[in-house]
Amino acid sequence: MSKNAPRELNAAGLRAGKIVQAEAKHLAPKGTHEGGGAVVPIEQSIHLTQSTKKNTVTIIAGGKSTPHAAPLEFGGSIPRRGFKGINRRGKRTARLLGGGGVLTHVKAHPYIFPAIRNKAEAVMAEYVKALEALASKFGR
Amino acid sequence: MSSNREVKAIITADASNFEKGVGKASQSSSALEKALSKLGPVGNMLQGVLSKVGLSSVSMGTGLVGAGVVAVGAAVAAGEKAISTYVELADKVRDYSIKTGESAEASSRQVQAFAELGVGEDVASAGMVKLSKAIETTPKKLENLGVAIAKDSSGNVDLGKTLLNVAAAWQSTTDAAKRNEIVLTAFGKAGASMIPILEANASELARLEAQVQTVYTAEDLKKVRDYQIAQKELNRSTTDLWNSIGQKLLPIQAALVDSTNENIFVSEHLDEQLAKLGATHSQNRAAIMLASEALRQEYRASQDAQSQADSLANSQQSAAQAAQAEADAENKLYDELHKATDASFAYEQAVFDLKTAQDNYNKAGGQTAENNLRLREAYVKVADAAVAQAEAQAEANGTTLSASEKADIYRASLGQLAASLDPNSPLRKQLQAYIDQLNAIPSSKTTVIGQSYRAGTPGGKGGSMSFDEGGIVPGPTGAPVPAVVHGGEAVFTPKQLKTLAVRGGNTYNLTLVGAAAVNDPEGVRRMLMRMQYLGGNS
Repeated sequence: MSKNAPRELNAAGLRAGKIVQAEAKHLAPKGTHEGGGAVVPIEQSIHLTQSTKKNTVTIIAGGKSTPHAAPLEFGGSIPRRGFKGINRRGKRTARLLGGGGVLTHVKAHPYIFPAIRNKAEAVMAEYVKALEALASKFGR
Repeated sequence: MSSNREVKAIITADASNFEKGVGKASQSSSALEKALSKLGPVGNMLQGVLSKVGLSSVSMGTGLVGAGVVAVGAAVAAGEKAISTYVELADKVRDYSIKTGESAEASSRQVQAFAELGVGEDVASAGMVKLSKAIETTPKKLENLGVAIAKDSSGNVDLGKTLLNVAAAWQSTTDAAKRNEIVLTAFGKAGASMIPILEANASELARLEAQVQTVYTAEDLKKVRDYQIAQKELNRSTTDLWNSIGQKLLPIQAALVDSTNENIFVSEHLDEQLAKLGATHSQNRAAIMLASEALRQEYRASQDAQSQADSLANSQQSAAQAAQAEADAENKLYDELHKATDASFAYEQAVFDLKTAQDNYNKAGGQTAENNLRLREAYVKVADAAVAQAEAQAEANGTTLSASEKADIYRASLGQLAASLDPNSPLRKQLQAYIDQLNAIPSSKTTVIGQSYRAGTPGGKGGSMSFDEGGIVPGPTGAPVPAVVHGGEAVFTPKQLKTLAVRGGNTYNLTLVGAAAVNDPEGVRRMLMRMQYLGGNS
């Protein structure tokens, strides 16, 4: 039984992660303002990874091709074309100088953490099912 | 933020402790399962169910969301009840065994036999401890009282048989004093609680002990103990598991608390509810679902009742505030009436004082200046008191008196007092003169401020001009012009004329009504100041 316990819970975690992923895709901002060309829309960048050893499921959004994922989640600024390598100090300087032409300020439009909040009960329910399944196998 | 500009959210379930808890619970449950065969048919039914019961009790304790409360079915619910009874009895037996040093088997029989006689395990164990102490410290005294100390084959004291000997010695005498001494010597001051045992004779006690169904061995007690510990550990580890899941989901924990409390409420009262519905544990899941739903509705109704009670408290508070406001209004009215009453008393006092002053005046024949003064003062005080009384009564009626009305009341009061005096009395004459002065103040006054030009020669240097109808002195401003003026006339400089805002044929009427000119000279001045802004040539 002790060997089965993490497998059941890992399966529950994966199911829970998929539920949250679907919700995050639904909430993710969409539209032409995301940019064109090589930019990957946020909705397409949301994916899952799982660590069975640590019993964790991670929902990830963003990446090299989706640089606007994090600023949209938390709010912030994105360097404009030609200022790709600007660091935090550079951003601060740009803001002090008015930021014109260097940064594009982005208003927060969260989608991942609201997805977790919206689906929290469903996540817990998946773990409940896992424990019920464990209970039914107990003693065999 | 990662260097790749990613957003990550992690859902985790730390099952490491949970694994250990489940593992231990599994092992202890398997061990306890064998002990349950002593429960007879019920125990047989529970074969293979105990492990599920272990988790179901945990799920009930932590309140799993959803169907967790009755997830494991009717048989498990029934099993849990039986097991909890078994475990509780084992606890008592173990406690008795530790305190008395009796074997597990003997403790099992004695605890259950004493329970039949109405003596609880805690009382019985305390009494047996006292008995063992008495055997150790005062054996002679016990023997003198007829209590034989029994020993087993090894030469150790047999407390059970010694207890029976105490009962026999107690029953062998009808002397109340001796009986009390036996009880006191054997069991100490709290020995009276052991009397139900002493009342049972040896054969009856033996019969009760022989009838005991559940006899625990030392190994049984150990298994129960291990099971209890494992259950607690499983409970804790499951809580840790839920906490680990909830770490990222903290905002919704509060919402889960209510459902958790509801689940706990349902699980605690499920048996009662089943009994009410006439259902038994052997019936199907539907009966239990029905019972649990009824309990949920009861729980929610109680929560609604709580909010209704809160609402009622609020509405009661509003009602209390309204009542307070009404009480304040009543108090205010009472104060005003009280004030009016005080004013009446003051008036009556003023009248008494007047009479006293009159008597003093008459006694002195009107020759003493001081008495004259006191008398005149008394008249004025009466008039003042009359005005105060009228004012207080108006306030009690929710109105106020104007200055004119007060003055009228004042004059009328003085007039009445004067009329009561002798027509030839010098005092009456003085009073009447005062009244006449008051009457001379007009109640309405109209003042016309105007100007008119008088046609005539501008006034030569050698001549003088007359302005008995008023007018502006002709000629250049500031140039001296002789003029004839009369007593009572007013002469104004150009600057003063500007202040009066009079120029070029305009007439401004300032009407003073009542005693305003006398009582409000400041108001008249302000009105005159305003008039300078009226239209006209300056």
